[in-house]
Amino acid sequence: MLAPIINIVTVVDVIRALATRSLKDSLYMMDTSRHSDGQGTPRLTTACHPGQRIHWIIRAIDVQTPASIRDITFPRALGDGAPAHGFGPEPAAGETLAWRYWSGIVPAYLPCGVYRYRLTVQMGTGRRSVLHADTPALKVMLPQGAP
Amino acid sequence: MSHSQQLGIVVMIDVAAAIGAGRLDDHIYLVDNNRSEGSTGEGTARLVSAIDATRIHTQGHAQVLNWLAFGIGGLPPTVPKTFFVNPAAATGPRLPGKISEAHAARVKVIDVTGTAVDAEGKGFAPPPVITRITGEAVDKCVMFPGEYGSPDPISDGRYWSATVNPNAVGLFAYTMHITLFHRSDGAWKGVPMTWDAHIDVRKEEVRNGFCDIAHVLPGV
Amino acid sequence: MRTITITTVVDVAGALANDSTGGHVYLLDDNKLNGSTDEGTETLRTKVRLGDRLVWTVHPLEVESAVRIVWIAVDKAYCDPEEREYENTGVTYWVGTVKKDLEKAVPYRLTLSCGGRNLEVPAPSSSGAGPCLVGGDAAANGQAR
Repeated sequence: MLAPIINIVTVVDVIRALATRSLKDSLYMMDTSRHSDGQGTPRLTTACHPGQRIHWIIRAIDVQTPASIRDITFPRALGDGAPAHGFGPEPAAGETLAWRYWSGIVPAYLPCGVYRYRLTVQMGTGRRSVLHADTPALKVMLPQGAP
Repeated sequence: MSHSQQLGIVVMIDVAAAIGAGRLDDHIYLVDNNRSEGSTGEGTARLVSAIDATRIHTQGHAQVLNWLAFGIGGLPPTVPKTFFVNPAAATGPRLPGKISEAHAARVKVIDVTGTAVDAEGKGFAPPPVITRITGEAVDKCVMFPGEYGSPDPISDGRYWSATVNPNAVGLFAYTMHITLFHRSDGAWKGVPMTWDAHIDVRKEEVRNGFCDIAHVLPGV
Repeated sequence: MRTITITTVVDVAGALANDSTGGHVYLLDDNKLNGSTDEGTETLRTKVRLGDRLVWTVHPLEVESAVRIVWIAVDKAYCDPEEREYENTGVTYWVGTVKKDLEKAVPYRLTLSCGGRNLEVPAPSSSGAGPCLVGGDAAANGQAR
């Protein structure tokens, strides 16, 4: 039976990310989907099916530091994932963010395959507060027994 | 947005000066970690902490506030508490607070350079302790304070924390009850004082990042 | 011998996110009764006398974050602080004695290591105004208040 929602939880070491100016070594991603790969790493590949809802949540490892998801984007190239794979080279500036929640449904028309996405994280406000990772992905599969 | 899960309010006090004056005015300075979200009065006696009460159902918890009080001339919080434990017999004055005899005998009393103080405790003052949080924000059920435990032999092992009612919006005052310690007649005496501060609770509409439509998520 | 503690309260995440301590540090000392001014700001003026022992500490707002003073730049003729460790803790502080009477304000700069990245107080963008030691009377220190 399909789980109606998959939760992807991202934990970020904010002080380390801001001090090193990279999410490399500061990002831990986990999800509630049984067949995912890369649990606990930035290279989480979330196994999912068309029609499932996916929900992203972020937490800072230190409860007193700020962390929000600024953006999640799936690049235009389909099929074999994003051209970029790694971590954003330099932190960008960020102002006060409006409240967003990140919840979407895997489209029914999407062919099966691995779709890498860019996760953009904002930690507080300021000229070096925004970092991104091009490492996580969704692995869209047909449900077992589907025609 | 881009808030932290817990808002920390640091209360810095010039203890000797406040005790000498008999009040905290001019000798208390408040700082929180929410300046980027709109807190005002950072580093002054008049802090207004910006609280974002926006919550997404599936993300659960209410905003939490923590208060920590320190003497300006005291040991910084980064010194690990095990530093105080001295296996040799203790010298010098006994600490205030409910610590057992055995524990007190093992705790070293030191000044800000980590040097053990003399029997009169010169150069050392136990840090100020917040004993209660009261006031408008509590009376109106905007804030629910409680005392929590931590393994800290100096502050008697407790600190104050509060959750914010996600349905309350506006500017509310609260009162911190703070006890300062000074040496008098060969013992440490507690001097209770109070200080007021404010929380400014705001709430925003939440939108879906993918389709930018305002929507209340169903609970998971 | 008097001991005067100068502590810097630091919003570590805020300073790193802005790549600047400007607006994210608050300096305080326990000598206001004897004439220190600008408490809680980046331009703290600490009143000192010959022979005073000055101790510099840091208070991170985010209690779990690593921040320490890695250098204090100040005219050594007046004070030559050195780093010391709270025995076996890895946590340090700086201490120095005031060597001569101050006939003018003596500014100093702090270098803070925030999570491993060095940031200066005052921030380079703040056009020079930073913390200082003052002594004697207000006129001699050119106080613009």
